[in-house]
Amino acid sequence: MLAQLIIHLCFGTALAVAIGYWIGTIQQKEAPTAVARTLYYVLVFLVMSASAILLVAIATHNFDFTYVQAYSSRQLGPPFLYAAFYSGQEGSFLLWMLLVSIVGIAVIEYSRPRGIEAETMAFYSLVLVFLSLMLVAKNPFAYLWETFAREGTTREFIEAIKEDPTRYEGRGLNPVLQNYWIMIHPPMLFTGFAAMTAPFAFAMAGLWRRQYHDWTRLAQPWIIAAVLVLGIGITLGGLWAYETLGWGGFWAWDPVENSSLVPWLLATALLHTTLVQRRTKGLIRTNFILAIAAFGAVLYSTFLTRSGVLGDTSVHSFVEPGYFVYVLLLVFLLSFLGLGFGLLLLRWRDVSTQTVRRGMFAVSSREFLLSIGSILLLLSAAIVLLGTSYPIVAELIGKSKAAIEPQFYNELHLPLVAAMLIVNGLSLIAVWSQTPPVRLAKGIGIAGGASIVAAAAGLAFGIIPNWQAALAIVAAAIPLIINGQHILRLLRNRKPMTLGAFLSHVGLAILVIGIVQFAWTSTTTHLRLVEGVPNAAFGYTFTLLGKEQLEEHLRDREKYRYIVAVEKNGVERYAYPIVYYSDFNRRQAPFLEPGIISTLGHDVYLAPKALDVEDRSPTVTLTKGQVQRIPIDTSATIELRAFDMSRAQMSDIPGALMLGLNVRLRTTSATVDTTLYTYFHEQAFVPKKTVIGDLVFELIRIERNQSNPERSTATIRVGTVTSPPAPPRQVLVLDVSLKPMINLVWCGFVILLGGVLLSTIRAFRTHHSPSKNVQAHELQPKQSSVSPHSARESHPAQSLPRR
Amino acid sequence: MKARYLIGAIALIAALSGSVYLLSQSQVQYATISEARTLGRKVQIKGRWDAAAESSYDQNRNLFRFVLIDDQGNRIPVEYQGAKPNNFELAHSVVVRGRVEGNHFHATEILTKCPSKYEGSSPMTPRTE
Repeated sequence: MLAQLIIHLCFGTALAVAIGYWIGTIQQKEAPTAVARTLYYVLVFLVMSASAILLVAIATHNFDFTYVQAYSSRQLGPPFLYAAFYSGQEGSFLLWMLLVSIVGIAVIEYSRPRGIEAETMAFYSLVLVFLSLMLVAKNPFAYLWETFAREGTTREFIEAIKEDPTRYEGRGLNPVLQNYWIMIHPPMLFTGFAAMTAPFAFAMAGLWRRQYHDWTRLAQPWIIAAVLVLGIGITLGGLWAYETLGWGGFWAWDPVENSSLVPWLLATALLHTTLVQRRTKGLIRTNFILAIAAFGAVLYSTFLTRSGVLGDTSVHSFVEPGYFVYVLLLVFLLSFLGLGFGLLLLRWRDVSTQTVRRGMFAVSSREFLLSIGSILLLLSAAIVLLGTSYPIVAELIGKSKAAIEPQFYNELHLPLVAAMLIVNGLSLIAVWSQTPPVRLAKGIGIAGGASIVAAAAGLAFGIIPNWQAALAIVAAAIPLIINGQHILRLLRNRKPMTLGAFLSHVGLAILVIGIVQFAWTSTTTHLRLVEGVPNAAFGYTFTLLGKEQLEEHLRDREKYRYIVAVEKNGVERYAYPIVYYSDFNRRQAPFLEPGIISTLGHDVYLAPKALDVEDRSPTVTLTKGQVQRIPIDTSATIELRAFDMSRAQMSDIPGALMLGLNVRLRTTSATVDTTLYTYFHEQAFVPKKTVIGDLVFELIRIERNQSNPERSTATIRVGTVTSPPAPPRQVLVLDVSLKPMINLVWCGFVILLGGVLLSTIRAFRTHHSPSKNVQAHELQPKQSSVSPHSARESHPAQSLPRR
Repeated sequence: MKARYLIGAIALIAALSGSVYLLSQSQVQYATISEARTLGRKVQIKGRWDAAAESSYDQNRNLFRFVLIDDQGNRIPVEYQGAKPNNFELAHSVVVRGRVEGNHFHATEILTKCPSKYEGSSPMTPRTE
């Protein structure tokens, strides 16, 4: 009860905080702001308490809570047990709330000395009001007897079964989510979402205060942080898809992936356009639009993935959250877009009265090229948004429902990303304001020439598969070379902290080369591996050696790793594809995880598809009433008289079903009626030997025909006393692929994000010591006509008077 | 000033109309079985699998076969290049993506939707039956 109360208190407190900050904003007084700030810390305490209670409930297996029961179980140990915190809707909203409220403390500390706390937090706290309202609607602390009251669950019933650990048990965590990458993926995404809230609040406060420039400087570290954290989240999702899902790729243009990519693309564009504004005083309105849109994209992403609206078009499973949450999410999204764009429209004309800069950027200037690059990023975002939203749009305009093929994104992004890379190269040759044509021509001549030569050589030697790939690689090599030159120069000048931006661009270029090679040269073949029988593919020899059970002590699962020897030129390595039966889906079908062998140049990727056994001894398959000759002694016959389930529950193997088969055996000398038994245990048949004369029988399979039980079949393996029936051989059916250059892809991601990390550290450091406020892009030859920052801007105390 | 907006607008319109064209090319419509037969192009059909009819997986050809019943009750045999999807037996609805080829539907993708009670319901409700 306490926990539910805390959730309601969170909403009340968030509302009070927002009201306090708004009064402070409108009245221009310190007192209400101070009250709101105190209340804000109370709110943070409340959210932390709620989170602690949920964590303790999960750790102590308190299945009174519907949420804990639905997403964890006793079988689940740390660390995955704690992933249950955010495995469902309710918990993930709580995590989001927690992160936004913690980030808010930093925003207060950051904005207070700059005198903009009230306005910034007035907008920031509105987000918390909505999030806490969402938590009230999707309360993580609902009790089972509340959630399932209509189904007849009562508190007394739950109390009564509490002592029985088999009945008082949770459903556990979806096995596909039991992976380290995916475990840290949601917290990363939500931290990114929380970080995106800050630039939005700074932009809105800037609009409110009619200070149209200062916010870009304040927001910059937060934008970079958001790009970093969201980027890590997206990358982890890709790693997980590759390692666990067995799709064979790291990106599938799935709506869930797409909806986290759009905020990232918008934030990245915003990062570049705010840089332009700080240098040139231009793009004021663009930056406001982008800041609002980037935050809007976060909310839209949540709406798409949490409202069930895309239910039919994604391989991710969507839980229908109920109509109320759907409406609430939609209101959340529309209110913030309305608030943002409304205020911007209100200030639209006022912006032009304060614009310092007039006229357009020179085509040869860095600011122009940066703007073009940002437009390309926005186009990419628009394409992804369009494709992902198309099913909804189609429904709204009354066309029939449809889904979008990945080729749509791929075909459009190839030229788009190529253009983006070339523009990036150009923008780093160019200088602010205007670039001498000779400089531009020389720079692009060297980089472009070298790239073309390299790609042509790659094409000629057959390393690059086709001319489209070659063109894309030329486009990627240009920024690779140009950024590389900058990096070398900065390293010579011993300024390693300024490398961030250039490293990220290098990372992007490597990533693109990796993706192009990966996409056009991956090959897949289908293999059926019979235990002990070698199979050849791609110059490798694959041999299934057997399987071993993992995590045997856990009763909720039966998890095997198959051992496949992969040999090439006398070097043998082992791949371990995993087949995982879980109570999560009542062991109806296994969860399959690929086995991967990594080499420097490529991965060998073994995605399991199906399991089978191959009999080595002769078998007979019978339906009811059928008589057949026995394969090793054709003078004898066997008749299936009936399926015998009378001892089904009387098995001497715990947890197994004992299935019987009444048969009549006729040999030349005698007729014997007997019952053959098999144990059905963990999805497998374990036969019991029956010896009649010198013949040995094992009932190895019963296949039930659901619609017509008369057509159910039984398979019996036959041997003799001297040569007993041999156990069957395991068969593993696999899709084996060769994944070239996948390491280049990961390498690209790491360098890209490493660069952003460096920039994030630098941005936050610079803001602690405003005197050293120098940007990476400003370390260029000083040919700029605009001074880096006007004194008025870098000193908040001297900022423009209100009105 | 004017020229800038004009060029920008033209570029934007060109880019957007290009992507809308591609969008129309790469969208896969939802259809019924009879519509899929007449359309002939790639569509997706929502329905359920016919538990009474046989379903099989040919390991050598990596081919999964089953019979799909659409929401109007029509049937079509489906051939899918790949293994039987996880949770196929549990799925209360199946979406296949592909095209009609001769008498059967050649699927390139199968999405399975599991009943929502399987997603989040409590096994701790007292059984009434």
